Amino acid sequence: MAFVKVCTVGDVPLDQGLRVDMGPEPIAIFNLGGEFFAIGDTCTHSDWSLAEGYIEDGQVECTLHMAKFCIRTGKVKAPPATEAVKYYPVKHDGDDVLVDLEGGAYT
Amino acid sequence: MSDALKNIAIVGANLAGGYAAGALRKQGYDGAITLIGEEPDPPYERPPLSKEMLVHPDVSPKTLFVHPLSFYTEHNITLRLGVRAEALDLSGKAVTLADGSRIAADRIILCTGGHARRLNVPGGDLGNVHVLRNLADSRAIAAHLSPGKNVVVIGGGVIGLEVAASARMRGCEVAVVEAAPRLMSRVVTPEISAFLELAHRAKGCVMHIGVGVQSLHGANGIVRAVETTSGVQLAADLVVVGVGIDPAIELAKGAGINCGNGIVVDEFCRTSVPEVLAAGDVANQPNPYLNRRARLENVQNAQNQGAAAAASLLGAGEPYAELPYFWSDQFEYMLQAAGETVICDQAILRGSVESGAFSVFYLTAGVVTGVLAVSQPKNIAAGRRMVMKHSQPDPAALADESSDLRKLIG
Repeated sequence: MAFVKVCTVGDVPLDQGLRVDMGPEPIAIFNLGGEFFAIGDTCTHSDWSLAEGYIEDGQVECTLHMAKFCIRTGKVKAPPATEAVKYYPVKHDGDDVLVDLEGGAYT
Repeated sequence: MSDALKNIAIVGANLAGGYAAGALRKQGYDGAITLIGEEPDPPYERPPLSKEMLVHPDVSPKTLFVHPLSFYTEHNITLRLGVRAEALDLSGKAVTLADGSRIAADRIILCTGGHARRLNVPGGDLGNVHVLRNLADSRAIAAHLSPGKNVVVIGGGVIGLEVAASARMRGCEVAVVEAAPRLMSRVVTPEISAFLELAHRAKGCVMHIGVGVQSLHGANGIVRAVETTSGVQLAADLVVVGVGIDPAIELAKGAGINCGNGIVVDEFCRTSVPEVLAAGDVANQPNPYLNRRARLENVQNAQNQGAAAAASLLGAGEPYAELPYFWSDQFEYMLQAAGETVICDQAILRGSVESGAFSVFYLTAGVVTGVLAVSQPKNIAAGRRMVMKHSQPDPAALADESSDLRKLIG
């Protein structure tokens, strides 16, 4: 477990995503109603950043072909994607958002 | 589910057919499924054919096959590839194939797609004149693209413009011939046509718009030039014809199924014959967002209508209501459009066309009925929701780039 600071709370507006490229793969940090989650950033269908996606009901919709992923688990919620993205453990330290960049896993 | 339902045949091993097969299993159907396809390949997605596969022919695209081959084995879906379905034998509960075999079928889903139209002019059948519909077409075209080659694209629709951009990116000398007075005239407004024309010209494509094709000239059976109706001769090493598709209705017609611009289906994807359903490019269905019948030739529809037909067949269907959506990549521009993007009484521009990244919202009687964006995908996500919710946002707020579109959905 090696949590590292990836951003501050203020870097990710409410119901928005932020792409962070500091670890083995780019990850997307999401702010869901003040709670922060991290999943793999690259849509498994076609290369596209999920941080740029549209957030609704705890899911992110890829803006390219409208695949949906659960922001809490990385699971696929709508096609055309068929494979999940990893989810990453997130911690807070004051205003800092920390992510275990080596701890990505599939639900 | 009826006990009598033991065999389902899907004609068309394509995106719609592949999704229909997967959806049947997802819904719990455990009888036989046979997926019949004329091409040798299992279901694949067509978007890379006019883009990645032409620009980077040596790299296999990330998104091509709908499912890995193991999917069909694991889900006990029988693939009958490389063989054409010849007829539906409804009383005999079977589909007959060109090799003489019969596939038992209590129910049939027709995902027969369309045939790329060819050019009906003298010389239209010369060598190096290609349409682009399937993998083989794409590979054949890609093999001809190299710096300095003269490529003439006939048709300034989505396929034609994507091929033109891809060929130009490979260093070819590209000319586009479009008979209509503007590009992509069926799906975008004159302002967007003008933007696309300018974009292609700026990249060095020569655009002949409002001009038809008189004939093709060749030597030794290979095309050498395209002669336009204005008498201009365009040198051609390769001609790509992108003038649309005709829905493949032969099987349906042969079985007495009601057809008319495709196979006519109801909102449950049911044809005029109870045992047969249809989905994908071939299906002509009432569309609640367009308030008319429509045959949608796009990826999202093939995928979702295929799955909807499967659910409907098993009695678990809901009325299918797909918001029309398409996208097109041309050079660095990603064009996406949803809903009604031609007819409107107000078009609200958000951003500047000159910057190459902008969005347009189409309103009728104050209600958002369509949205188009160039390289602004997030605005499409919000715009689609506005169309689906019949939003009536303040036009000034829509045009204001600093406004949060999500707050305007209502």
